[in-house]
Amino acid sequence: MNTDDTFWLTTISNVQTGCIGLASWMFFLIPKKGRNEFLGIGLMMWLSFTADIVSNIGWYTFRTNMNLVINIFNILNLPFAVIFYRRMIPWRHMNVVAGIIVFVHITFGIVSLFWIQGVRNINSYSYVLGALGITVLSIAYFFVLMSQRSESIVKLDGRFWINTSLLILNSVHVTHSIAVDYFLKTTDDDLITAWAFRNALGIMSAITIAYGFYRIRKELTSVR
Amino acid sequence: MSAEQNFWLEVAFGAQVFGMTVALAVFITLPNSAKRGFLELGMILLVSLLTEFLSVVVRLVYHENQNVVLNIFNVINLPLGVLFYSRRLNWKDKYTGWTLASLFVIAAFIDLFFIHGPRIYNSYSSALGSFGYVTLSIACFFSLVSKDSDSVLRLDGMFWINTSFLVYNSATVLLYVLTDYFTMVLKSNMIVAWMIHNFIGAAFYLLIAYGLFMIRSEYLQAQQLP
Repeated sequence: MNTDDTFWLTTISNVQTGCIGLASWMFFLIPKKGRNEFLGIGLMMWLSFTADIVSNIGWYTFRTNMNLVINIFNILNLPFAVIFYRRMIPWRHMNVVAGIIVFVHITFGIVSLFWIQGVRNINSYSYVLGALGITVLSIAYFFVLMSQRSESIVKLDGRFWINTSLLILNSVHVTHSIAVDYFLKTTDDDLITAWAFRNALGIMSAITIAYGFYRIRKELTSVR
Repeated sequence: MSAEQNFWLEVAFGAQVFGMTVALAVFITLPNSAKRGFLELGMILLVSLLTEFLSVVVRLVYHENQNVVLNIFNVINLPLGVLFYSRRLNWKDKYTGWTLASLFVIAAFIDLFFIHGPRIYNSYSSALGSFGYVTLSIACFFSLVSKDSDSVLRLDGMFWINTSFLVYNSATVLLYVLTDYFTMVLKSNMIVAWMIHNFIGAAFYLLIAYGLFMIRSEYLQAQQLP
């Protein structure tokens, strides 16, 4: 890793942490009455923010491997997304489906963490599984939004932007995780550039989610 | 390139061509009125299939660099997508679609002749094209979910077509952005990256085929209504 690479990666990941922090804070601007509906996304943002802070402190202060924190974050990320989508997708048996998705993901995540890829390596397999799960859920939610389009436009805009952000981010994560895993195993490169691009996308995603929260706040306050 | 990698690359390529063929076959069976409505999508499918066919011929028969064919496809692909989406998005200015398509063609030609050159894969224009598709499909989703459309007909099929464009292009955009890095810095032959790309491509074309099939059913159902 040369100095230039380090500078850019550090800058981009710090900006990303800042944007995730902004989105986490925006969640609390949603009026209490409607906040419960978006609890899953709020938890996702807070979890992501905490994971970034903890892994950075671990690295800069104690020089500990950041991957442990990222792997634990990854195991918890999908269940929080499921909390959000379970409320939003009013399909029959949605609770059962949500339970199965969470159970499979957590079980596989723990198995991968301790027995397949290990605590100190990026758990790319469970990362791919989680990203695929969120991609499918967000497509299902778009379908729901489309079928509800004639009912009410209220609250639709904010949800739309949050869902778009999750869909794009997780579609990218699927291919990125597979490719990065392969190149990490087959080359000596630390793939700093690839991570920098991923974090740059994370910035856009966090800003879009923050914008979604802002729209939801605006819509809920104007309804009152 | 190991024999195993080669095998899986060919499998992924075959799966993608199969998906394209199925989608094109479903397009051909659409009623004429539907065919006119989705003409640009049909052209995208036809051009994609011809590109794959030509690239195989160039590679296996003439033992030449296939990137020239893929780069020309890149120049055509997004403009067709812009024209396809401009009908769905009902832009106020009728020249918006043509303007965007022309700007992209200019950028792609600059990449083709002055940046990467014809014999190296034009990853910048591919990335730009994917980014364009992502933007257009988000706009289309926004239009699908936020306004009470004048007709429910064709919405379900369009949903699946739009979903496939959004997921495929967001999944591949990062691969295109990182192509130069993988090939020049890591000295990779990109086999695994292309394999992933082609498998995602297979799913993309099959989803388009499903969308077109739904459109076909919707049109046929509408024709039977009194």
